[in-house]
Amino acid sequence: MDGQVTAQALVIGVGNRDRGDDAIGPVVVDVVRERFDDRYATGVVEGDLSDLSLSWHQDQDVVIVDAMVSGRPAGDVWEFDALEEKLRIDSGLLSSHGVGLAEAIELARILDRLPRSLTIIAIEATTFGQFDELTPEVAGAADRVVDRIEKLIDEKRTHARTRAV
Amino acid sequence: MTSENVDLHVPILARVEGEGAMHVQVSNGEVTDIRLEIYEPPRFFEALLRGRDYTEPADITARICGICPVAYQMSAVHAIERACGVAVGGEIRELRRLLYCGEWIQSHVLHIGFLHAPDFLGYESGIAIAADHPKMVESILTLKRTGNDIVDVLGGRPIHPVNIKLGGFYKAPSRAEMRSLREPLLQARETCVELIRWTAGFDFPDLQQDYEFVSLRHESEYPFNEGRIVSNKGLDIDASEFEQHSLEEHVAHSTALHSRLKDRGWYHVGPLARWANNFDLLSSDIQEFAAEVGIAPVENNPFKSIVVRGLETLHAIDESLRIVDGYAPPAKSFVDVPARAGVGWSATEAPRGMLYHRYEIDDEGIILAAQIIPPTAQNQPTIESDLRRFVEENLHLDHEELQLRCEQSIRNYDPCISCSTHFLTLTIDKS
Repeated sequence: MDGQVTAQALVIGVGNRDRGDDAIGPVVVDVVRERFDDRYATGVVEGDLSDLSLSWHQDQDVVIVDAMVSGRPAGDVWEFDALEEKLRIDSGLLSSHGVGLAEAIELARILDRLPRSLTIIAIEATTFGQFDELTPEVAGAADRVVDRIEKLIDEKRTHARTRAV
Repeated sequence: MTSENVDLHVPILARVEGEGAMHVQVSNGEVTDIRLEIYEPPRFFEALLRGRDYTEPADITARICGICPVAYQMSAVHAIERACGVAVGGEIRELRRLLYCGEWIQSHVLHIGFLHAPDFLGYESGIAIAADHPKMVESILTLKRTGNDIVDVLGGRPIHPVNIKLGGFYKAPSRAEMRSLREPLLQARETCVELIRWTAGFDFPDLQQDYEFVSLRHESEYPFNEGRIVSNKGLDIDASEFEQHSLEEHVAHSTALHSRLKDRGWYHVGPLARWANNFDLLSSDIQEFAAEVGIAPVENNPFKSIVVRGLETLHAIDESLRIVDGYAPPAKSFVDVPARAGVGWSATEAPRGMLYHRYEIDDEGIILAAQIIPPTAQNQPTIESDLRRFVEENLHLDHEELQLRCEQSIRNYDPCISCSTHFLTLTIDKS
């Protein structure tokens, strides 16, 4: 992963930038970096995710953004608390190689390596052709998702502070 | 199912890179049909390269595979540099070897821990192994991460490196960046020894084949980027001669071409081939350790490839340490590669076997023709031969066991069918 784990919140984009809508995870990370500079740690994972759990600290709030195929309209956003529920291995979240996202999270759970909070934001995708462009509906979701990430991380921090008190 | 009549069909192979299936048919006690079916659509990269600038293949071909992009980059740059009459040496050559070490560590460790070990231990997946062997799986993740770190330092990111160019690198790493790899590599070495001992303790199905092992051989180094193409049965050619000695055939059940050597037939590329052809070039430490864990200088049992992958990982770690310790940043991170009309060939050693590229370019550097022969295409007929032999010798096994071992036989080769998802849906027809 091409990011440094230093901030208390980490945003990870999963996907292949050259495979159409699969690029939406990395594109969202690009927007996060542009809008918030170093406020959040960020990273992009393009291939195998087996060692994903080495990317975070256990006291971090982590948000993972990935493409999804579920039959919903293109650009639809779906959110999932991966600490509360198990992600089904065949959940429709796409991986290009090796160990996929659902498996990587289950691996982290088994190894007791989950972070303080772990939210999956999945964006419905339609095209995955080599060197395809993002479809407009999917590209249009990026700003909405970044708004949501900011709000989500604020909520998680507030919740953590409340619990600490 | 009886031992006389078997019809095994696995429509989607799990724990391989890409989309493939397996079909095995036995009638009256004889194997009548064996097919490793590759049905993933071809992506026409060679056609895509035609008309592009000669500087582009290093980035374009890297996108062929998310597991071995470095192999594609290295075969591409070496072939084009050869077309342009440029040879890269010194520190840049060392950095290219280090980059390849990183990819071998990433790929081999992923395959050993998550794709192949489950077959030997009776688990559905690497994730399932973690529940019973958490420390080992944590070690495997850390070891793989060391490979990621190497590719990240040299390539700018751990997957699909962006720092590679004709003649070298856009930017050479600093001494501090290289030094940062040292401690993780030392830890990785200990972990790797532990991993090798673990895999050497597995039960290996018995299968012996009289392979023609084909790999690179360099005069003084276990090969990554350079060397002649040799075999244990007398082949000894330059990369420029490879297409004169090989055939690519279309078969109805595969969207990947099948490779053969003219007048010689199917052949085997990958860790077992490199091991057999280059054992004498390994350090005495690794040779002795191999003997200790029961690996011979020539291994004809493909199921033992999992241990050989571990030993090659150990070599990659030692080689990385050597390069890191001796590193002095080059004055310039690349040599100039001016375009000139010509043809260039290169074979390098991808983790899963020899990867051949050929490019023809004009005097302005426009690519006129490109040819890529990946290792899995070369191994397909060999995999089918292994399946046939294994089924013939193991018809006494029950259906489930036979099917599992057949799938395991395919995974012995860590086939990289393409960049794709992998998952399992299984149907079995009984005659």
